[in-house]
Amino acid sequence: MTVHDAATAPDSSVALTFFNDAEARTVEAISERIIPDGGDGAGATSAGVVYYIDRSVSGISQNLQHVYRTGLRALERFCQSEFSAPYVDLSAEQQDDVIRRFLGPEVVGPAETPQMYGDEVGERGELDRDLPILRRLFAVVREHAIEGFFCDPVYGGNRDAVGWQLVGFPGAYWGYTAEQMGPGFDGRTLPIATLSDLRRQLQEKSLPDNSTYYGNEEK
Amino acid sequence: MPASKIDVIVVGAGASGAVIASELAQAGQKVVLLDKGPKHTTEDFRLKQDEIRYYARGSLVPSMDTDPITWRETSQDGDGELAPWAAGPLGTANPLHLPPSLGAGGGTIHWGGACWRFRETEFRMKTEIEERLGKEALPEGHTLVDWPISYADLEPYYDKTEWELGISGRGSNVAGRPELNENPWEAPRQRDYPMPPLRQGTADIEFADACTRLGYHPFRTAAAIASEPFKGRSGCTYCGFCHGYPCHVDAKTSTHVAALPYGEASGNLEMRDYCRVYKVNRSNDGKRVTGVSYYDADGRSVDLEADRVVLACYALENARLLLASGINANGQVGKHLMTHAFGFFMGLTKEPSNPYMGTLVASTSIEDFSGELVHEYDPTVLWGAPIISWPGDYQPIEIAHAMPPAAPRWGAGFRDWMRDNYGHVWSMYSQTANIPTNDTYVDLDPTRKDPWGQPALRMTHGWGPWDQKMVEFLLTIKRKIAQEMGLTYWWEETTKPDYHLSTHEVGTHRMGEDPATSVVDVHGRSHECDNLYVVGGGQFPSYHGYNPTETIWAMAYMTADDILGRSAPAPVAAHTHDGHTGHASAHTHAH
Ligand SMILES: Cc1cc2nc3c(=O)[nH]c(=O)nc-3n(C[C@H](O)[C@H](O)[C@H](O)COP(=O)(O)OP(=O)(O)OC[C@H]3O[C@@H](n4cnc5c(N)ncnc54)[C@H](O)[C@@H]3O)c2cc1C
Ligand code: SF4
Repeated sequence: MTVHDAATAPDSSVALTFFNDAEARTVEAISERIIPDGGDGAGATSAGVVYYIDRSVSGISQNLQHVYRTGLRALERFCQSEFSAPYVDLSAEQQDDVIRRFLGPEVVGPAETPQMYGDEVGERGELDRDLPILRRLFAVVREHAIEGFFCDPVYGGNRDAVGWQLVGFPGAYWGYTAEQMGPGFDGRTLPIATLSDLRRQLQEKSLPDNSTYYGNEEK
Repeated sequence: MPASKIDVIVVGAGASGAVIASELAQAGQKVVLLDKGPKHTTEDFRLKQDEIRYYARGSLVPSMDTDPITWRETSQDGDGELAPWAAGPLGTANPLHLPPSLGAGGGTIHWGGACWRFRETEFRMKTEIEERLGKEALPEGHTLVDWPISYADLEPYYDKTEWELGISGRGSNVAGRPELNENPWEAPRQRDYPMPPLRQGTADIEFADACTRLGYHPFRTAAAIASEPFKGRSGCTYCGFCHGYPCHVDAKTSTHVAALPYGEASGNLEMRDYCRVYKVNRSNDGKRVTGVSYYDADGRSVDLEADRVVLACYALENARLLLASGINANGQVGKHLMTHAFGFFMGLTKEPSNPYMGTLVASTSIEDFSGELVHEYDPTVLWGAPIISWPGDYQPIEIAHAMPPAAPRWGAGFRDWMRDNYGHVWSMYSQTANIPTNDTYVDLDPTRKDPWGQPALRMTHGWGPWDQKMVEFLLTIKRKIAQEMGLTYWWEETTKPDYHLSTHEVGTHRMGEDPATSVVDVHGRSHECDNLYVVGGGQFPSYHGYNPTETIWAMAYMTADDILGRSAPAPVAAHTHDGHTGHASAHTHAH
């Protein structure tokens, strides 16, 4: 797994503002296992999730810088001792297994707490000391990956709106008409719009009048 | 801008504060309105279709860093911890899990806008329960009391709220309009709403039809959203970024567009934003207040004097400020805390629900199991509530956080669940309040301070078995509705939710006629300091199945009349839309 190919990334958004290159590759690899590409081009890597996370952590989420920096170091220690290889070089199955240990299994029943690595009696010295930060790291990456997959592309993630296309979310709309809200209308037929599209429409004054939306007559 | 002498300082420019400040200013009082948040303009919100900014990062709600709230379940549980449900892994919160705010409009900037008049029996809930179920039905240690006012006292103010601020809906018990009869249990009203109900989404129609087939009585939920142009504001465009978001076209009835501009147009109201009040100052004998002290945007402390002070900072901060200022002679401040459990019920519809369209409150409700009506079905349930459809206004991250417990949290299964189901999500909810007891209250945290050195608020609050029973009963009805609707899958919130803030916190400065057992009188005036008013949901003596704000507004108009020595509005004879267009000229965003 490598950093997203600059050729397919728009503009200058492959530069980094917090992570070093190795960190970015690791975060991208974890994110891709949390939201894997299903063969349809929609996964964390193609969405550029790591760039969303990088900008968040250098900006609004500065308070989480230590979680990434020390957490990723701890993850490397763990992977070296367990697999003698860095996380990015593990097979997808091994990567999932690491996630299961620290984030818990994919499916957790309603009332259960996930059984995770370290719930057993610990005998691993330094690695046990790393447990809290590793659990925190994976919880934070999961949350950030979801945000970076579904955010407006202006935040650096959800490139080409792949996350929105996957789930059928049309994005930043000024409004919806009576016809669009009516029975039998499948919103997946709507074109996707981003905040940048909306801003352009506002500047060009090309948005329809609000009555197009609040009016109840179907056109 | 007022001259040096200020008649009234209003603290908090939210739902209640902006209404009171504007009413007083229009009547000639010199008013300074202080808010710790910004003075928003609609221009700030044109590109508000942004789930990261408003939902994931909660940019319109206070943060636990600046406005810490601690919590413990009972008073036996130690000192309390920072509200654990409020901070996700990133330390930011779902806007529903913190007190509403910040800035002009307060909670109404980004609220859902569900509007209710309380039914007549709600005002005597304690008596109704005791007469119907016996005195022993209420839990030991409860502190429930009836309201000192009745529905009839509030009706003219409910009417004023609906027509002044702009509420859409369709009445069911309107004087002279027998053809309007969808909700058999609606309290009598002198006229209909000024605007028709909002347009429903498709899944809401399925909900209404299922309720009809089950013999229930569906009717359209009233909404503080303009369904057509109202007083210079646009009708709703059904943008689908409503709950938790500001409105980009001023259709949502937020007091920063529905009230404040009228006050400002009078020339008697000055709003100062980014001013955080930390103390109410008193005269030497303690019987009167002299003004307030606040920190301005640069952290400087400022003392301001006035003839009167109105605290309108939300039920929690009102109580905190009173306690931090030492205004609590009878020990009643902060007691009787009540809040809502939502009994959230989510499901998947067969046909696409297109959940990103519309607003959650373009919806339908049933009252068949509200209040005392529930006793006919199950006399062990103390009090019922409406069941309300929540048909839309769901963005992808919000749904990723609300997936069923059995769905994968990560990996291909997570991704595929979102792909297959997001477009079919639909939900319904109800709101049942905890019965207030000796062990549901707020006080000052013994150790934790905010960044300005002020004591944090501490909540002591748990859900009793009697509270859970209300949630559970309504879940059984929701299951029937879900089955009748043919939902393909559904999942439920627990009857004992892990949150203890719902944005509907009330009761913390109870109103009453007896100065020994309440904090304020029926007009919101403090028993202890006679030129101090403390307003909002904190005044509620009991709480019910309804969102609080229409009642908060009605009481705010009552408070303004009391300060001005005015009597209640006279009944309005005819239902007309035209009476209102004349106000539009006063509406302005300029400042
Ligand atoms: C996401 C969301 C959805 C909601 N949906 C609904 C709904 O559908 N229906 C409904 O009825 N209610 C709803 N509510 C609740 C509603 O917003 C509140 O009931 C209402 O705003 C309370 O009014 P208030 O005047 O007491 O306080 P607020 O409106 O919260 O106003 C308080 C103001 O005081 C300011 N303030 C606080 N402390 C200080 C201080 N120390 N110094 C200076 N200023 C201060 C705040 O910045 C704020 O502007 C919702 C709230 C939220 C957050
Ligand atoms: S749904 Fe309507 S009221 Fe809500 S924000 Fe959008 S336009 Fe405004």
